[in-house]
Amino acid sequence: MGPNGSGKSTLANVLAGREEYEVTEGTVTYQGADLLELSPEERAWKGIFLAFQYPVEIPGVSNMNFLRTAMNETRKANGLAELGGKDFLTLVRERAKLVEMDADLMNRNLNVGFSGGEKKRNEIFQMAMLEPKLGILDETDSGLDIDALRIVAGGVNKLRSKDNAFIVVTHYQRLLDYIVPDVVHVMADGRIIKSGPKELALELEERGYDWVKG
Amino acid sequence: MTTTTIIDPKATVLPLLEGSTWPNAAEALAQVHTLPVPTSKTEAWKYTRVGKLFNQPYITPKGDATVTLPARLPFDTTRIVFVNGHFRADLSDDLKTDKGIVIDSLKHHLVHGPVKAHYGQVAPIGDRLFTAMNTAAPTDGLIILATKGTKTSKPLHVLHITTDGGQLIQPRDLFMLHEGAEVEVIIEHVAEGNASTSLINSIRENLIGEGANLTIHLLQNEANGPVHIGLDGVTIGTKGRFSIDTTTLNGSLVRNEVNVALAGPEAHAELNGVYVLNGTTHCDNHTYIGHDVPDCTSDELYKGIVAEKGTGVFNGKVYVKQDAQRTRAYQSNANILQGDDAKVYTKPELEIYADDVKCSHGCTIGRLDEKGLFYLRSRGVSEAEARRMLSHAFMTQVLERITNEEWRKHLASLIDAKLEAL
Repeated sequence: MGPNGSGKSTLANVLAGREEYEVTEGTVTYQGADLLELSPEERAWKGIFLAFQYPVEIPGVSNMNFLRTAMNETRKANGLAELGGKDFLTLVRERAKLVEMDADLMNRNLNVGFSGGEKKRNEIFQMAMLEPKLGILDETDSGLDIDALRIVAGGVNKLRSKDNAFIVVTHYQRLLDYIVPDVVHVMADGRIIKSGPKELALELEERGYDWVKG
Repeated sequence: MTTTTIIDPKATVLPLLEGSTWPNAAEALAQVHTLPVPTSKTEAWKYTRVGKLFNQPYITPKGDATVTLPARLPFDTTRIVFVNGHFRADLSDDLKTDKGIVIDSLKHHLVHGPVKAHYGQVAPIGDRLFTAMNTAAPTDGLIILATKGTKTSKPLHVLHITTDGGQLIQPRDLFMLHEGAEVEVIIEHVAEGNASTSLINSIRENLIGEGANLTIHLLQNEANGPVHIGLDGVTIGTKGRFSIDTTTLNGSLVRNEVNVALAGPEAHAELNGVYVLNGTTHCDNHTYIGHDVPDCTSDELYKGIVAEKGTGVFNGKVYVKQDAQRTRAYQSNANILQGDDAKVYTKPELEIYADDVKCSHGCTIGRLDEKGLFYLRSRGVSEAEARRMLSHAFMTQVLERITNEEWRKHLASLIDAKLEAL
């Protein structure tokens, strides 16, 4: 959590490998390796997934085609056999239920003409398909109505396990009613200035960021 | 005292143009003598240099060359084979299966009334040197004469095979569709061996009658292929329809000119183009659409990727006459440039004299969408694959306009293979 401009989205994008950002100081160690040395796709193959604040619309690339390519390249990089068409479709149907995705959206062009809520659901659906070890949700709750929020949060909750972790970037306590965090970190001016249990989020909601900034 | 001898650069082609018995040949030859070779100062040829084409000698095309026919298209067609511009009945399918449609060597039909009446009318010489050259001595070509209400039962597949370099090949087609006729033609050029020093200077005259519908699919995908200078002249009558899609994936110098006259009310022309250019391939799509009468529509969409030392040129003009009220004309050219040496010149033009029209034109030159690229990569799609996906997607909008699904799929696979090789 943290006020506008505190660097939350920057952190999320840096972790996923966005090339517009140059890391001038510091290190990121992920599973014992230097994350900053890796290309975005290599990070994905190692289990990092960024759910975008603004998912990109890509006309001419079908949702399914894209996802199948992404999954199979990830599997290949991890020494697994490619998933056949039938197995892939079975998995799609199963995971689509998690976020109540319409089958019609699957065959459409990637995010093209999707509503804000549908785009966010598609992000969580992709996450469910790719089963990351580290899921980063960059303001996934922004622009969602309460029903969509519940569905998206429900999807995340079903994916949580002892083998994975999530970084959830948000402005609001509201999301944390549905996705209950283990730890809350507060960022300001590019630094984590306070960490605490889930109750910290409630206290922030009540007292504002000025309170922690002091 | 010194004397300067001015040598006509056309001296290399003139000997090959003499003595033809085709209609208008003598007048055309006289025109060849007087018309200059276009230079970069000639507006219509500003970005496509053709002077060097006249620096080498040419030989007459070899019609009897032995060829290996390529595999058939993956769907049913009537195949018509030309070797170095000469019609080859021995290699073509039976062309008499569709009743009421004449499909044959144009040379065999020059004395027939309808041909005499229309030959040379749709593509007049004017100030065009290449048209004059072609008219002075056509090699041969295809006639399609579809009588009232007839329809080709399956697409025609015209296969032009060029076997050697150094030839001047001048195909000359005449497609005539009478009232309500429907014809679909795929035209494909294939090179055997190294044909890169050959010049194919082709003209096709397309005359589309009332309510008739002509679809042309043109594919240029030749490694070591000849130079192509091509012109499609098109006249469309009332409620007639013309559609052409031109796909250029390989070649040395390619010029595709399409010159359309919307001559009857409610006529429609659709021009689509896709190109993926690398190496030193130069492709110039040059279009002119004349809205001569009211209530006609035209739509042009050309998109391509230019990489390495490739050059893409688009010059499209839409001309709306004063009487052509309620015209709707759309034109768009979009390009993706890859690499520092790739070049694109694009020039959309609208000239409108009517006041009740809807027209738009636009052109773009850019790069692949960086945001899209990162999105795909962040999901585990490798950079190379992500680039291919976005490149293919860029051209999908054009492919989606091609109504023949089997042809569209065939093109999509050729484009994928090409992108794979980039």
